[in-house]
Amino acid sequence: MNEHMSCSDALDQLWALIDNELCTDDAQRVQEHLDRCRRCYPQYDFDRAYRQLVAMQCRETAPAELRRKVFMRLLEESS
Amino acid sequence: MKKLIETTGTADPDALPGAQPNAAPDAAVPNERDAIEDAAAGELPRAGFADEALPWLDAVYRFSLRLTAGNRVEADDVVQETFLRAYRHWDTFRRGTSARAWLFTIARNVFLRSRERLARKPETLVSELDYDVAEVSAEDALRDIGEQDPERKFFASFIDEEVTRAVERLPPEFREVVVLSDIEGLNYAEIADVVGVPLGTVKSRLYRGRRQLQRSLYEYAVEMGYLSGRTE
Repeated sequence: MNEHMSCSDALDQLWALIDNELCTDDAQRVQEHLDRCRRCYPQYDFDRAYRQLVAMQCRETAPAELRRKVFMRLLEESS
Repeated sequence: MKKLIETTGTADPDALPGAQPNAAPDAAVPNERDAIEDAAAGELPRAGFADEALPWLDAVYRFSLRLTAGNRVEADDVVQETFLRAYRHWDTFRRGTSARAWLFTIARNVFLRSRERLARKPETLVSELDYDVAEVSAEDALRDIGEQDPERKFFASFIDEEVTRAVERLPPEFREVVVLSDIEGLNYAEIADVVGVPLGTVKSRLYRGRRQLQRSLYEYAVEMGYLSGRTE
C-alpha cells in the first residue's frame, strides 16, 4: 500500500503526527509525504516548533508555601 | 502541628529532551519531594496516595494557574481543594489508570464549582462553528511565517511571560485542552476523559486553540517588530 498521500490528507493528520497519535503505518505515510512535499513540510515544521515553544515555557512549579499547605491539610485530614 | 517544607525540591523545569521533536518534553515527569515532605508523606495512611498523587502537585498547580487565567490566589485554593478531595476519595481511584489525569479532572471540577459558587459571570463560550474570516486570514499569515522563517526566529523571539499571557487569553474551552496537551502532555483520550467531551471535540478544540494561540503570538511579534506582518 504505497499510494501517495494528498496534501489535504497529510495536513489533516499533521497534528495527530506531531502529537504521536497516529499508528506506526499512518505516521510513516504522513512522514513520507512531508519528506518530499515542499508545501506541507514548512507547515509541519512550524507547528512542531510552536509545540516545542509552548512545552518549554509555562513550566512553573508550585510555590513552597502552597506545597506546605497541601501537606499540612492532608496530615490534618488523616489525624 | 508538624513543621514542614522549606524548599520545593522540584524537578528541573528546563530539562527538556531536544531529540524528541514530537514529544511534550518533560510534562510527564513528576515533581520530587524533599526530605521533610518525604517524612510527611510517609505519615499519610492511605496506601499509594503519597507515591501516585503527590508527585503531580506541580502539574496540578500549572493546570490550575492556567484555568484561573493566572490568578495565583485562586489557583492555590484549587490545588489545595483538589488534593484534599483526591485524598478523601482515593479509594475510588482506579489503580493502573493515570493519577495525573484523575487529578486534573478533580481540579477542573473544583475550579468550575468555585466559579459557580462565586456567581461570577461565566466566561464566553465559544461555538465550534464560528470559524470566521479573521481566523482564516490569520492562518494564511501563519503559513507565510512557516515558509519564510526557516530558522525559526519567530519562535525564538518569545519569552516565557508572553507565551503564558497568550495561553491565558485563549477562550476557556480551548485553553484547557491546549494546556493539557501542549504543556502537560496528555494524549487525546486522556484529555477527553478530563474535559468530558468526545475525542473529535478534543481534536477540534485543540486545532482551533492552537491556531488562535499561534495567531496571538504572531500579532505580538508584529507589534513588537519581530516580524514585518502582512501587507495587503
